[in-house]
Amino acid sequence: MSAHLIADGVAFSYERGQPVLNRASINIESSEFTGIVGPNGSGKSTLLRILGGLLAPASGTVTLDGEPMARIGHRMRAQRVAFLPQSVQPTFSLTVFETVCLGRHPHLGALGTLTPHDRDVAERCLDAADCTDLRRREFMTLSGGERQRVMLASILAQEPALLLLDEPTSSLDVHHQVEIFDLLRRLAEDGYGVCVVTHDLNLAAQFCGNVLLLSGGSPEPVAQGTPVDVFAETTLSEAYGSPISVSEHPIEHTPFISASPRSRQSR
Amino acid sequence: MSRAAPLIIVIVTLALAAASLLTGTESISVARAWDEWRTNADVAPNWHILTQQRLPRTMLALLAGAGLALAGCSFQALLRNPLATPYTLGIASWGAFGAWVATIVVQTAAQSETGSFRSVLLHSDVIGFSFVQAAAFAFCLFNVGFIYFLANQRERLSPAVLLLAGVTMGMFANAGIMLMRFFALPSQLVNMDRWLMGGVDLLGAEPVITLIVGVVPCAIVLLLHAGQFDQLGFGPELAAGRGVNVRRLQAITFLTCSLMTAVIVSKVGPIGFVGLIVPHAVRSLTGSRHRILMPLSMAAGGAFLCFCDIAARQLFDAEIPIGIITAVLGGPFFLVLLVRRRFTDWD
Repeated sequence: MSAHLIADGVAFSYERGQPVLNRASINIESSEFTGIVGPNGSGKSTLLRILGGLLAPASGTVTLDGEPMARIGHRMRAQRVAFLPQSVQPTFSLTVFETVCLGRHPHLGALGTLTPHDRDVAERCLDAADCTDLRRREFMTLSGGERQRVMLASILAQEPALLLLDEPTSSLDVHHQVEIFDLLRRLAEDGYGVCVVTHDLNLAAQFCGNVLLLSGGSPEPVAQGTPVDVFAETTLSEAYGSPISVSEHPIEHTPFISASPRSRQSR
Repeated sequence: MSRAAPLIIVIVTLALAAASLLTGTESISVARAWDEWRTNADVAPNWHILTQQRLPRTMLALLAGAGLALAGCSFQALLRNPLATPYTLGIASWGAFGAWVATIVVQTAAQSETGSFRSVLLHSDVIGFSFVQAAAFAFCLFNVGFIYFLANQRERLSPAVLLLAGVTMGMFANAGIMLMRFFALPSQLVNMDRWLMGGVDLLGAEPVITLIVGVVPCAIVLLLHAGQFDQLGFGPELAAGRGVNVRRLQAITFLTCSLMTAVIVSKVGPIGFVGLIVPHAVRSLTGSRHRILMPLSMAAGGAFLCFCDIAARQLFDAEIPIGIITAVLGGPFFLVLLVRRRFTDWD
């Protein structure tokens, strides 16, 4: 199932007169892996929430397959677009399989009864996220990397066309970060449209086909395109308000980004 | 989840309800009561005690226990706080405050020369509520409406504001109770303290009908949202991403639970601990999926209050208030649960 999510010229502010986003546009399509990057407070998570229909933009439009997002019902939206927030801390513990089955919610009837088909989907999603061996474990006993894979399986169980993930690798070690991004790239190759908010520019450069760069100093996006186009020293330095150097990754041959303290640059 | 757990809970509930029907100072026989009814006997003590005393009492315990346990379970999901109870948001305190204010007003009326005013206050009975119960209910609703107004800002309902405003309003009501106590006569202090300890020893069908009207529709509404409570357990953003209208769910849960609790409190007094310990005890047997947890918490809540009411009647020569039993049993039981779970869920 293909899908096309478009935000066109959206603006948003939490406080009157203090826009977080302005004239931001982005396309999320099936089989594409898109990254939203930028410094803290640049509006990355806000843009992702707008794309997911969790926030309504003050101006601009968000359409899903040509239909305005605001007109799509909550359940219908969740069947096509899945959203994984930055931190997920359950109040009470469920098993891994129960947690993944929660992803079937948009497809269930009023009584919420799981059918054999729903259980089959959950099993397949466990497999797709490489966590079949965890299915009987309590979610609260899992490590950070395991939890993230299980949450990924649970949003896959929604059977959406598009996946929106807010910093899915925050608080993971470097090995698990690469594992999660590799998994997301494979999902994009399988036809999912994937959009991640991330602070890790090198992971974005290595795995994403498109990136949108937001700025810390202005609510308007700085640049959009392939990582090679966007991750230029001057563009990144302008967006982050701090000198950033870009070289070539020795193995992947993608942009390799490093930042130095301002004090060292001024010497 | 233990597969036998739901069956065990239902069987224990039915057994305790039956035991509650047969327990009391007067020994009765169901067979004799049946005979009395069948033969339309002029003197029917067994039938009278069974239908006018034991059955209402048992039904009240089942309904109040089920409602309080369901409200506790729902509030814990809504506020994402395992310590939330039906009374966390100050509902019981405002019910008690309302009852106290009404008592003082009735006292004034009793001393009044104006016959009609006195008559209305002392003898009014609206849909099964006495004046004191109606005042308790009205004060509960005022508290509910006020904290909902405070928390419902900027197009969202804030669970944190609900919790903090509820706790603060509860303290305010407790201050009001102290003031009312200051003005009360010594005899009223005794009566009101007895009300505050809770009791299901009400006679006749009227209080049962009131609780059925107050609890059953609210329970149906809450049970229909069980799947959405599971989603809310993983945070409002993930729930919204799964297609849950979070704001609507929060508003429905808060208002429904509050209304249900207000009806229960105004009728049987603020019986504590049921809403806290029952959902946790059931959760330890059945897991945390609300489709199973909520109906079984209702059954277990009813069973727990039946058990406490039997104990209240049997432990001593004189009957003691049920609220004392729930607290005496509930406190240690909750501590045992905490230690057994080693806090892993709540850290």
